[in-house]
Amino acid sequence: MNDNNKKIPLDAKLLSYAIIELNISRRNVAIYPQEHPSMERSLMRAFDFLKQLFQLRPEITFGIAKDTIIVDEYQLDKKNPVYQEFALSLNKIHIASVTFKNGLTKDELYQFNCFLLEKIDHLPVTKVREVFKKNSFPHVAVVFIDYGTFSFKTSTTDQTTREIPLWEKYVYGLIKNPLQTEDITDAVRDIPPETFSNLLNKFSDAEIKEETYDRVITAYMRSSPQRTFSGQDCKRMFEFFNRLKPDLKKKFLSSSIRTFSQDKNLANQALAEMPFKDIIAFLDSAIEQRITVPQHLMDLITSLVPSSHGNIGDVLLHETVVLDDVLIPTDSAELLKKKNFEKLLSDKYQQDIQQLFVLHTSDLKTSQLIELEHEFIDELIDQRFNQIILELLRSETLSEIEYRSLVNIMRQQTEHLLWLGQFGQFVEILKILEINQALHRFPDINADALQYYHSSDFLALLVNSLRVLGRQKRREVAMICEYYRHKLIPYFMDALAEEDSQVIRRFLMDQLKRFGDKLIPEAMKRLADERWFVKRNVLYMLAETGAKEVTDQIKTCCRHENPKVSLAAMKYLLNTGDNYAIEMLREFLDSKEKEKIHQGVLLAGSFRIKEVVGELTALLQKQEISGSDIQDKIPVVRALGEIGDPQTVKVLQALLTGKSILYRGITEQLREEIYKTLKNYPYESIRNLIEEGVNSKNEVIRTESDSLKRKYS
Amino acid sequence: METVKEFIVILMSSVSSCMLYSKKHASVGELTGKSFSILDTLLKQSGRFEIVIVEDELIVNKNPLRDIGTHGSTLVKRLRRKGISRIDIVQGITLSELRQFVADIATADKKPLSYPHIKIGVVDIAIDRMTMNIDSADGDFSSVTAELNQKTREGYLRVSPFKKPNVADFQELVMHFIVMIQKEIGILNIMSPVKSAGDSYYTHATNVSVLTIFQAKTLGIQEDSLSDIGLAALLHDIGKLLIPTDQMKQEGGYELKEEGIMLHPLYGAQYLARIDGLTCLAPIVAFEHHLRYDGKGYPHHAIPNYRQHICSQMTAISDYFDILRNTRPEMRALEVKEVLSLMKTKDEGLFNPFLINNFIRSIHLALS
Repeated sequence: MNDNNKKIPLDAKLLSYAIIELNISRRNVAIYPQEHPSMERSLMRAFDFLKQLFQLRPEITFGIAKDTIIVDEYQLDKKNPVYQEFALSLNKIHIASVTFKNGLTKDELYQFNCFLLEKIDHLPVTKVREVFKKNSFPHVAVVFIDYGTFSFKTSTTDQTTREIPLWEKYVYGLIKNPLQTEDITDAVRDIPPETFSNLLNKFSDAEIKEETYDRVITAYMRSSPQRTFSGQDCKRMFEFFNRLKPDLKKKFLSSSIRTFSQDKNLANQALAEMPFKDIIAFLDSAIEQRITVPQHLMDLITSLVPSSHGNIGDVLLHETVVLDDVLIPTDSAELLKKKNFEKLLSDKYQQDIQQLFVLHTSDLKTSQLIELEHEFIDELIDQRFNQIILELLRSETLSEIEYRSLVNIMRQQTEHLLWLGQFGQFVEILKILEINQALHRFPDINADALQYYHSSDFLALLVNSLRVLGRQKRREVAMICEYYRHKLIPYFMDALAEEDSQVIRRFLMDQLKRFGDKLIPEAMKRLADERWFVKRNVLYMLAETGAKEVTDQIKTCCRHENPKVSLAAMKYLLNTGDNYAIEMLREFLDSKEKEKIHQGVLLAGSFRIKEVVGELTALLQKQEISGSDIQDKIPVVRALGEIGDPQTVKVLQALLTGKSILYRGITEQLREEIYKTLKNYPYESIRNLIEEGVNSKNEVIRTESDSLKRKYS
Repeated sequence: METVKEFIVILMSSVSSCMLYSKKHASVGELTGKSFSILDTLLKQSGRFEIVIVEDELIVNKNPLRDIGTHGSTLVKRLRRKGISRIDIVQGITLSELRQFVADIATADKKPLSYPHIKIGVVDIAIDRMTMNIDSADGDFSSVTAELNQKTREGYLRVSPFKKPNVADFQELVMHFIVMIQKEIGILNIMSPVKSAGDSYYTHATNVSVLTIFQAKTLGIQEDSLSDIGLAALLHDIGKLLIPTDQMKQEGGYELKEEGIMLHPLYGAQYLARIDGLTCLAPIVAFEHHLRYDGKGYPHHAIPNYRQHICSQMTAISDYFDILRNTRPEMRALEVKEVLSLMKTKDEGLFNPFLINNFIRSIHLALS
């Protein structure tokens, strides 16, 4: 804006009307078509006011500081709801200022209003700017917020740092860079006294130039044909004084008394409208600050004293008890005096109170207080907030709009809830939606929300959170599984496939087991997965279900290159009693691969497969070449021990009598293992072994034999 | 923007997890890992990731982030408490660095350290001539101004289901109360007497707010929470203004039928829960302030063994005190000592004994 423009002050009333009408026409665009009379009327009015403003200036710029409109350096009434609404509507789409230029047409204004109502608030600034450019408004210029101007002070954190409202900076300018008094009058009057005084209190007396005091006071007191200095303005000015720190208060009081003294009419007019007690308070402040009040001003004030007040002292005394200009009853006031108060206390009550006083302040710092503070943790407040929302969703006092809005709040919160392991609250959400759906309360809203909670993205998120936090909340997890049933199976399967931790895998499999036969179709799909561990996990899962209908597909896995897969397949088949597994087991035991033999031995033992006793005893009878060959026989002995076939005993006896000079230690260990695994054999078949064992020099063998003997005696 | 939102949600979840569990908890590791991987994608796109807090808004990479729920505002609050209004993250950040950052943000009494690839600081507006340092507010608040009181009163009484209140006005009023209490202005001097029936709701609301802040202060509750506590207490009865006219004793009046009275906590909570940027304590207190410490009271709720939030417990005490202290047509106003005596002895189970003892003692100390 050029200097010439700046010199012409805008008519505040006109400006205010223009904004009000601009806001109405903006709102009407959303309601009426362009040709509707209401639309036409409001547009016309807004346009007329702008035209009148253009007579003062060729262009008018409205700065937008979030909910505040700034014209030139002046902040318009921050609390005016229309200004706020208009400002926020622009701020919402990142507008920092809008300039209307002379030549603007009604149609252009209408189109601009349409632009303001476009649903673009979710777009980034750059995109909104593009939309604006596409619209092409020759007489409307818009500056979008440049968030880059928020400069960065690194490595500092400051609890008191806050965003400085633009008008605060304006006041700074007022102090440091003298402005024309005419320019500041309305602005000073518009700033709430407490805010203005707060700002000034940040400066010391020395920082403020002498003439500033008079300028501010003149700004407060200035009368014009449009505006007179009223009792209300006077009151605001006194409020402003009362909030100043002493050095500034003194200066401003002096300045105001000087101005009052110079303009008796002004003083008479303003003070006559003031409540008497305010005048007294003003006078009191002046005296307190040792400011000499000219006699003629004192006379004026005395003449204003109403006779009914009588004793000023009484009024002031009452004011220490009076609240908000209203006297409380005398007896109440009297009661607050300590003497009377204590007199009226009952003995019992006084005793209670005395006990309370015995406590020291430090006693408050107990666990109770720590508990109190704990309740103000944001996360716990959020948690309670969610609980309240859930309660409200059950209530019958909600309108459809309110219900939708609360459901949306819960939807927004859900991801956070899940990541905090608050599965109980999540179950509650589902329960409430389902109940309300069943009761036909807002069915569309429930259906919409439930659709979200059953969406693929959501279920993946849900299972992912269960994977991480579910182990601590098994009861809630069970409820979730029960609610979703087989819908969760693919997501659990995905999680299982990717999981590294054995503990979590176990947890996921436990959850999958809940679904029983329902998981077979998904499991069979996964069996085609190339990854060996996925196959293995699926086979484990299938083995748990005991389903027989898929054995043919499983058989193909028995010959998988990875023994962990083939073993899992064999386990499945053994569980279902399929003989193919025994054939495979024989192949394993006859194999030349040590690992396969080892797995086969373990499997034979754990499933107690009698059919392979021959293969197992053959392994025991193998010639030993090294200590490791003897070592390998230990699991075979264990497997045979699990089966307990009496035909094995002869082979065991042979092992017990065999001698080995080179591998005495490991041979002795094998013998001990034989005795440790005798418990499943028929007594008759092992009686001799027990008798020999009782007399053995080996303590382990002796102990085991004694124990067996006691068992069978 | 969706990815950015996802990052913020996961980051906040990891901070919350760290706060609720511990920094070594599996969920913290998982969530931090997840946020790290999203961050990595974002950094690959733009090389840097900026979070700026301007007032109550979260601006990420120069674009305001909207509709991110209460966890978004909780993140803003948490960062503010740490004195952080800007975070710049640059490429090269490691998972352990992010983990440390999350742990530092989660720790209530710990200021964040500096990190090689995370710059934290404050925001200023880059207008050199205008830049000024604002010290902490230090005005001479001797009383709440009539103007502010009037505006807040109008805003309060104009509340309707279709109009959201101006939360900033209420906050300003509560800040005045806090400052006055901090300046040890007599508690009863801050409270106002009821002038008329129409005025009673608002005056009662402000009194309850003052008394509740006073309690919180005497209990040594952190300064950070006082504003939220005061605001929640101020709005505790807002439901009374939202009750349908058929539940009023007479049209255009303020007196409620019994059913209306029983429902006002619900109306209040459902109204307040939907106001963006308002502390979550407000709907909590509106809902719970007529529940009793022993679990009885109203409104009806589905949760067994429901226990009021501590802020609701304090508000209930203030509420009771102020109601009995006020004159009403059918009965005389009770004196302070009578009210306190009644609160202490007559209705066991109504209040938290620890809080009521503290209240009585503090009121006495304030009066003596």
